[in-house]
Amino acid sequence: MRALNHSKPAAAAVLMLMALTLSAMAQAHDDGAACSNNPTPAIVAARASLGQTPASLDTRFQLADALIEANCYEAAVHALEEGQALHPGNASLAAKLRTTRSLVSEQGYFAGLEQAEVAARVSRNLLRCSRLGDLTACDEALKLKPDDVEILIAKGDAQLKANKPADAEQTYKRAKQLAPDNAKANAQLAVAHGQRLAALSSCQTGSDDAALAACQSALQRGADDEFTVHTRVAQIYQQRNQPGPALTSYIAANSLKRGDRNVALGIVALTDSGAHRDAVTWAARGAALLTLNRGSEALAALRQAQTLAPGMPELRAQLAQAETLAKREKPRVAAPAGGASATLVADAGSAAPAAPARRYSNLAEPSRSN
Amino acid sequence: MKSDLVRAASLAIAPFLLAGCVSRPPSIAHVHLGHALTGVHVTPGKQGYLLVAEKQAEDIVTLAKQAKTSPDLAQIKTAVAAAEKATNSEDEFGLKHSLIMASNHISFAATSPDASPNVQQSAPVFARDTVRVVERCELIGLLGKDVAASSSVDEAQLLAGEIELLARANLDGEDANKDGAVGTVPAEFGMKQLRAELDGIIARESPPYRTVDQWYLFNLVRLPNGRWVFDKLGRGGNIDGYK
Repeated sequence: MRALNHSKPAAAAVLMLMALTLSAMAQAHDDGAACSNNPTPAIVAARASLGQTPASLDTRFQLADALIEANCYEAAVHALEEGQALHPGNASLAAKLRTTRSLVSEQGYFAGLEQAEVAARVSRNLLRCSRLGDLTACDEALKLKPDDVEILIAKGDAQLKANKPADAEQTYKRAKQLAPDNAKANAQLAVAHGQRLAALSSCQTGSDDAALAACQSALQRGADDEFTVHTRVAQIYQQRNQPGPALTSYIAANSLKRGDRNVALGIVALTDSGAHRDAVTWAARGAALLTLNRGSEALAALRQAQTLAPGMPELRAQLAQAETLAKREKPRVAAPAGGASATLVADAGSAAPAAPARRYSNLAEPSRSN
Repeated sequence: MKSDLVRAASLAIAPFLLAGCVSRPPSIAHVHLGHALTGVHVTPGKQGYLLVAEKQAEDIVTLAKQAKTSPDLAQIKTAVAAAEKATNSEDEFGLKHSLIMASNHISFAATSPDASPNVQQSAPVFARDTVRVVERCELIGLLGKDVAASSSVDEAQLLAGEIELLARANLDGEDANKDGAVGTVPAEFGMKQLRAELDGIIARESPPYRTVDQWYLFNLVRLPNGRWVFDKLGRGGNIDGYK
């Protein structure tokens, strides 16, 4: 970095050299312990030589050079300072010490420049997060500073702005964990909670696009009402004759809480067509039929799931349960292995969809084309 | 008769003696400081690196202000691109590059054999104090790229406004810690505070710093053995040194 040629192309080369030096110095900074714990052979040899002739200035310079070569600038300064005690007023030693001290300063300076780059990236992302509601920028900033309360609050604000109060609540909770006394985190947490409750209310009462959006904005992973929201989303989709997302939501609800009769009815109704033939759907149908005490049909569905994905969790236990239940059932209509036509078997005790015409919905009004 | 001869001889050599006094070379350390403060032959107008940095800092504020107040996206982008160039261009000695070069030359001064203890102690502090301005320059660069990629006038104006704030802080300093005073700590420094810091270094010099003559500023070279000398024979710089 000290060797500068003042032509423009050379300036670029110098800056490249500075960048390389910066990288090397950063490396040296990281490897500070290596200077004392893992010295290079040249350092070891120079130290041994100096041990034999401690007053030799040439040998001390050799040690300093070896240390500088290994980027151990602090150690080099120390070695030269020891020499100064033995050779006070020696001009060469003073010059060498001055230059080596400047290398230590430069090391700190370059580290500062490197930190400036990182700080600028964080500031840019924080600005976009807080001023433009750019959630990607929020996440980028948090990658660099995951426990920064200011960034977390900014992300929560951006989530609120994006009408995601459930997500915002989670983010503010994280900020509160890190800084329990932070007034803004606490205040915003209350705001997010209030907005989520309002969204939850709209979700439960409406069935239009706004209600669906409200459900999605209120949906919070791990919350006590997560099951309720998934179920409600499934019902709304079902009413809107959108069987795919309805089934997905019912399956999500079912994975959170087994044995809910309404969810089971929904899953059975939506899988009666046999259009969904993946292992997860077969397993969900089997579990739902078990909930409805329809053992034979459950057995058929669960066997389909086992064929497609033998390692699915809980499948073995559910199969055993279904087999037991099937044995107790009075023989009515045999369920073929294909499973889809098992819909012909209705559980006497269940409130399953009565009319075959209701292919997708167990809840929709009769006037709806389901 | 003899005294007349002595008087005549004295008068004859007096101009040479005076010229010798006036043209006594400055210290190598002071020439390096001169490269930051007064002039260096590679910059626009051969101005010192710090002067170039100060001029760029002023121009960036003007450009950012233009960008912020323009209602036209294309005009905003043009003005911000110019501000970004004045901030980070190496070829055109942008603020960041010029400031780093100024800091480098002050560090060269500190490692010169004739450097005063004042310069030796102050140079690393000055270098460290430039970092906040460099950080703002980096941020201006990032926001400049965002403006270039933006398709919204509102977003571009907002970002241009932020660039203007950063540019102003780079020029005058800022009150980051909200203590009511601007530029009281290095994290708040702009070019104004850095200039004051360098002026303070100069004021403490003993023997005093005098403005370095251009010939010395433009003819300092570093020999392969690391020594800095003046290129009296006009050989030019070499690969290891600069002219």
